[in-house]
Amino acid sequence: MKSILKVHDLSVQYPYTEQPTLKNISITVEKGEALLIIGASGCGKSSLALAIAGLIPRTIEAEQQGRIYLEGRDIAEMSPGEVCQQVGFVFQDPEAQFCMLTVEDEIAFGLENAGFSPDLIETRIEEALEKVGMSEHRYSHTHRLSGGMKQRVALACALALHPPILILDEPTANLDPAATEDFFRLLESLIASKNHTILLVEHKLEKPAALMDRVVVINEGEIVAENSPRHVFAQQNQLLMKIGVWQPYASELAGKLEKAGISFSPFPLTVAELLEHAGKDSQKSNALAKQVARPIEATDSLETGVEELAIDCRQVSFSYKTPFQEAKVLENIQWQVRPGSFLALLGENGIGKSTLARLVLGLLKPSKGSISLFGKNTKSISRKRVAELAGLVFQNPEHQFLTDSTWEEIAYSLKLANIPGTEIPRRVQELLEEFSLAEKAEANPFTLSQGEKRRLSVASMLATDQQLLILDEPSFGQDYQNTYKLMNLVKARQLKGCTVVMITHDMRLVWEYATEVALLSEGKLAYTGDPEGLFYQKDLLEACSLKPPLPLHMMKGLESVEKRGSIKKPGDLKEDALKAGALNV
Amino acid sequence: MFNYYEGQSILHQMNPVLKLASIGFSMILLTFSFDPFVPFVLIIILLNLSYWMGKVPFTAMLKGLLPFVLLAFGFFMMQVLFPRSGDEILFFSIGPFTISQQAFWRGCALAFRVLAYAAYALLFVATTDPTELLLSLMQQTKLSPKYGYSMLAAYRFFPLYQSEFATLKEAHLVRGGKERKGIKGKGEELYRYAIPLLAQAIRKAERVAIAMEARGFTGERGRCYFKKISLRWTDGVLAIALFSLVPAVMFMMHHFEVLYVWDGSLFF
Amino acid sequence: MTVLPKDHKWTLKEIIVMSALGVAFAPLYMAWIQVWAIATGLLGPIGLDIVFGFWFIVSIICAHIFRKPGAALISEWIAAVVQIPLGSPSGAWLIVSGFVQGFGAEVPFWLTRYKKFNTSILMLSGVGASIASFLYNWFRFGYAGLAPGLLITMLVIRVISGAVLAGLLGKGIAEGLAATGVLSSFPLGKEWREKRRKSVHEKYSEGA
Ligand SMILES: Nc1ncnc2c1ncn2[C@@H]1O[C@H](COP(=O)(O)OP(=O)(O)OP(=O)(O)O)[C@@H](O)[C@H]1O
Ligand SMILES: Nc1ncnc2c1ncn2[C@@H]1O[C@H](COP(=O)(O)OP(=O)(O)OP(=O)(O)O)[C@@H](O)[C@H]1O
Ligand SMILES: [Mg+2]
Ligand SMILES: [Mg+2]
Repeated sequence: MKSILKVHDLSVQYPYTEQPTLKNISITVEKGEALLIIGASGCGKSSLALAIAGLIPRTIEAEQQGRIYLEGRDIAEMSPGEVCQQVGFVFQDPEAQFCMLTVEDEIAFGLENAGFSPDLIETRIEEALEKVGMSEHRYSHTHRLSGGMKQRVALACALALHPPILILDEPTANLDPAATEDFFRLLESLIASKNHTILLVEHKLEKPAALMDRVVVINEGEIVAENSPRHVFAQQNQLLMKIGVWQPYASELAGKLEKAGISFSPFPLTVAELLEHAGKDSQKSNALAKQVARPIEATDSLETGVEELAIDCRQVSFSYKTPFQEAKVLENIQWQVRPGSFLALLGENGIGKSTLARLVLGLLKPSKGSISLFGKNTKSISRKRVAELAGLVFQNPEHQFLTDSTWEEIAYSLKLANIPGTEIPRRVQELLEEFSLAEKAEANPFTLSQGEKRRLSVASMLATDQQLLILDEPSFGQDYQNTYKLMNLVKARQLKGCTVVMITHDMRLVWEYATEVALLSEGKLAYTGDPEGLFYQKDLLEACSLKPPLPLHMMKGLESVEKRGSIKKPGDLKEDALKAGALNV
Repeated sequence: MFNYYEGQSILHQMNPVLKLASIGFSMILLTFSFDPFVPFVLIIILLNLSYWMGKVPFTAMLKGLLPFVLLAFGFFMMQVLFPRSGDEILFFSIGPFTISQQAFWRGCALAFRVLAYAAYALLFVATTDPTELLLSLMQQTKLSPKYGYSMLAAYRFFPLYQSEFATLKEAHLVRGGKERKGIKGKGEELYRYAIPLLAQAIRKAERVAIAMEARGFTGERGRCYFKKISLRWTDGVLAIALFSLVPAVMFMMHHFEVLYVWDGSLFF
Repeated sequence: MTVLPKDHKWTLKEIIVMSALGVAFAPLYMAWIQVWAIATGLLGPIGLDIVFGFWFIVSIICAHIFRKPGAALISEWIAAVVQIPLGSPSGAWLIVSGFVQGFGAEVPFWLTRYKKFNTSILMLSGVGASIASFLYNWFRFGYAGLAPGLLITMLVIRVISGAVLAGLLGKGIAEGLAATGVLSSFPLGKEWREKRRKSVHEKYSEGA
């Protein structure tokens, strides 16, 4: 059989960089295969995807060596139109891929380019919107959608074309847990249909590890491992840990224990498999219990001695107004945040989390109600004063870049935080290293990879000295190592007395870091309090598109294992785990 | 600046190219009218048309026209305060200022002309979906999609500049920059933001181009369209009616001899 | 045509970026009318010629960035035409005057076969636009009736204005943009990066 896609000895170097971003990559993909591409942030995953989609070097400038063949034809000799018929591509940054005003036009655009008839376009639009759950937003303007909704529309655009090859670059980065699950279900059916060849770049691996046929691991532009998921995650565990990428949760835990001298065979990939090991060996289950427990700092809130509430929203309502309609987002929100807490703000896509963050910072004005920061009503103090009290990391990192290089971007923040000039170079260097950006000091912020942009925007806010930090999805698109480096730095800021509000869809981070959560649902706060209390309320979670975090699954699984004592029959165990919900991850 | 207001009015449903053509020719014709009365009457008619026929919200009209009122007033003052040599017939005087008849009428003519153009633009922009305009241009005038879609991208840059400006300001604010007050402050702001703003516009434009190519856009002619823009005989009637406004008003003014109050010329 | 450089075809990216720049300058051109008003108020009719150059600036910026035939002409025309729906008092005349000014700005580049884009050519482009616009005003506003001495003064002032406000300022803005790195896929950006890289290398080799 002729392979549908063949990458032969591909190297890519962006202009004015010292090193090639991709080095001698060769991959052969058969028709109907599902390929998972993983690697640390900035290793070149998106660049590879762009090259396969024919965008490098045609539209995005870079020096390219090697060849890419689609069904035996050299991509360099095909027109952009022809390539598009073959390859559906979802950009990592959904905002970067929109070229029309409304959702409908956006999807129709690609179909028109492919020369479909209007009737067919109509059915395809409906079908694609249905698949991503955006049918009611068909006539919405793309720029008025929330981050997660944009990502769904981008996906719909690619799906509508029914392309033989589908390249998805972190399609779930901004999606809420329920939407993520829906996406993976969709992916499963796409794979099962065998009509598509799929290349998926992804950090969330629980589901893909079971779905995909093959994993390609990229490190610093080179392929370092390539095999079936089971093989890669079991055999290359130490390598993956070293380069700092995510693994399925069970493999990650097992890998940690192996490092501590407890060995597993066969190596577990799923929570159920891991529980099986735990059931046979109390040493393992004890060690695991320690791993999944909530860290002590997350359970205790910090006493800062500050009396006033960090954030105090009283009866806050807000709606986005356009001439003929008013989109109500928040209604009579009462929200108090104690100083020194690490609060996670949760809620499904498009519910108004980013909006609330902007309200608190005074970037939007509430239509009703008042907001106070540390006892000062934001209406009665200047916006400059608000900015001195509170910092915000925007959901879209590009929205906060002000200078022309990574170095300057951080230096700018330090200068505003009144750090003496002689200190600045040293501090910048420190931060760059902590955020794995040292090599990018001279790079223009806009040319960074998506994950690097995210880290830079967080780094520049952490460089300041506000008492309140609001981070809008600070960890999306990050690899394992950087996620934890970043989270630990945020945590360190909190332990020094800073109040942290983090908007996130990652329940594991909530479990491990948040001292408190607030859950937005239909314009109101549906829950405020400690995370454990929330995660045991099954109905509420379901209603708000949330899923309990993996460590909690694991914990429940371990508990039921313990209750039964050491058990021999693996079948029983699986049943237990099922009951505890551990397999529905 | 004007925006498009979604709606189902007669003006909304009119074929965009014909609307553009009739308004475009009206504006050309208006260029040859140098008196203050024709534009004045036209403004009244056009605003009523926008409101009653186009269902443009009243507040939106006010908001959209406000900058033009200021601009028009600027032109008026410029004519009145800095008279030209040859302006001698005294009209009236306030304190140390003497205002000549020519200067006064010339000022009025200029101011109303600005407002009349603005009223035409308001009528067009507020009732025309930009995407439909572009589709109509490509379907009815056979404009090449390459330029058609580039135009759409450029057209969209207007609101984009505003929102980018806001984003940039937010970034400065959130990152601890100062908010400036007053006209001088705003001027300083504009200067400081000018290069980053243009840079951001270029970046966005480049992105749109990349996105379009990534989605298989080749710019070739003979493309199929999901939305067909219709062209009916009623569009033709409406277009003729719209276009005949200027000559009709000119004729009326002439007929009632209002035009002879002042027969000077404008500098433009 | 033999006079044109080989890669004279406009890509989609270039068309869109140039249109965006043209659109961006339309409101600035409108605002400049007020500057003219003030200048005329303070200095009389000569005020017009002093400030006139700014109205060609987008030509110089785009020509400098893209270095392709038509950049100066088309960008200026876009900026002019967009002012009509913005409510410019010149109205539909802008279709003509935008073309004339853009054409004047284009000529020096065409004469040098689109090979040179140094300071003097950019200033000459401003001068070209000044002369073209002056001739156009001559016909439209009957300059023939004015005293020759005054006419010469007006022309000289306008030429200087074109060279400075369009040529020099345009060059400054274009290069300011290049410094932000956004132009890296256009000729000016490439040249700029090359230059900067050299200067960085020199700096390091000096240090060593
Ligand atoms: N500029 C805007 N104009 C009109 N409506 C908007 C605008 N921005 C957001 N919205 C709407 O407001 C709602 C809330 O948006 P918001 O961005 O706050 O959601 P979110 O909770 O942050 O979602 P996500 O998790 O997807 O980022 C959405 O339904 C969105 O469509
Ligand atoms: N246009 C560009 N110009 C210069 N360098 C670039 C450009 N685009 C990407 N790079 C660099 O190339 C490297 C690889 O980027 P790429 O976007 O492929 O990474 P990635 O693996 O997708 O990372 P992430 O997981 O963070 O999205 C990064 O170091 C990035 O800074
Ligand atoms: Mg990427
Ligand atoms: Mg959001």
